[in-house]
Amino acid sequence: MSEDRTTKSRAPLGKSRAPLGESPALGESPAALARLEHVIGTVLRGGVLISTVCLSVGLLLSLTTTSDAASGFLLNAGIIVLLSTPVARVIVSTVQYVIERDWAFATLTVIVLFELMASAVAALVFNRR
Amino acid sequence: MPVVTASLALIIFAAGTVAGALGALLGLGGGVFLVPFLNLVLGFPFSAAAAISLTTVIATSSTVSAGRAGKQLINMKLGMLLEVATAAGSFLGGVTAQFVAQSVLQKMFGFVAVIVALIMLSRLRHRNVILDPAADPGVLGGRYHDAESGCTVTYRVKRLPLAVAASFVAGNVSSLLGIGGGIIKVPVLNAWCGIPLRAAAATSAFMIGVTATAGAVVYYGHGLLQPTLAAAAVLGVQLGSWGGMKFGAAASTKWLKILMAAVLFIVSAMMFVRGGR
Repeated sequence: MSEDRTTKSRAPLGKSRAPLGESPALGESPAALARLEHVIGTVLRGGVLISTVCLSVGLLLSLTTTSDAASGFLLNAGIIVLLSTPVARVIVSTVQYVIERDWAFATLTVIVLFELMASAVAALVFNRR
Repeated sequence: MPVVTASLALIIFAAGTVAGALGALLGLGGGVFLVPFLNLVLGFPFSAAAAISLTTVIATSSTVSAGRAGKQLINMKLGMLLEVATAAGSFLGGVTAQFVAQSVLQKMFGFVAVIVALIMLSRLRHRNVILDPAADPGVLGGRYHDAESGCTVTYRVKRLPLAVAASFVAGNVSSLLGIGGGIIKVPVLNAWCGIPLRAAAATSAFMIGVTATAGAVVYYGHGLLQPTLAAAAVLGVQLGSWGGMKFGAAASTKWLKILMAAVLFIVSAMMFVRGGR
């Protein structure tokens, strides 16, 4: 039993999307969407894996040894990879939308990138104080 | 800033595990539980708690969204559109957070938590009604297979300006308070914009990575993020959200809404007590 009484149909996924794909204005075909989801999934998994390894090893080193340099490097590297993963996800989305010539969404994702850059600039300004 | 010890790291790891599991179940990101724990229970400064929490929120978003990608549950187009608003709000929040007193942030946290809890309870019986079963979801709508009912769910996005406004506020509150912002977006998207709870939660969790990054970068640059404790929290949350995802698909939406509201009332009361001192 579902709470949300939204439209339900037994039609197989994607089949009823066909009329959508025919209209170039609406862009996104099921294949393109699947490709974007696949690429994004890979980027996110990769970022999570690298940052998790860096943070785990860094945390173990910082708690078990006194070598602050190695653990500090790994911990900061892990955090930077973690913070970069969503940025990388936006970048691959922009690339994918440009390939699909979906200019509206390419523009939107570029705006998001600029906003993230503004944050990085603000961070540097704070750091200098 | 508290002294880093192995036992403190272990406590934070455990708290992260619980927060991550609850966050994955509720589509919140876990920060709404971790911030009060770090601030109220462990006595961290609010900004240090927010910085650690935002980092875990990013990890949750990436982990949860990586697992969901390919299942059509995340509405990518709507997410990317709303990210423009949520990242702008988050950037402004991250900057203003550096100048706002802790007691003000605590009261804000309490206020936000209680408002959202009330919305969730008042909308418990609300249902999205789309009359035409063969409805065209439009550019921003979506269609996904619902594991709970075994049906294909199709929806259209209603009241887009409201969704954009809610995303801006969510982004702002996110970096000010160290939460994901799903706490604001999910109820609005679900109750007023015609998006089923599961799709709203998945899309929100997807956006939250970008939202939290815009805020977390500012805290990191300001030196408010303690790397060892952040690592412990992130790893705990990773473990917890992995567990939450396994269990989450089978949980009923009504149960989720009631649990969400109850937790928020408790957190809110605690924040008002502490912020009022």
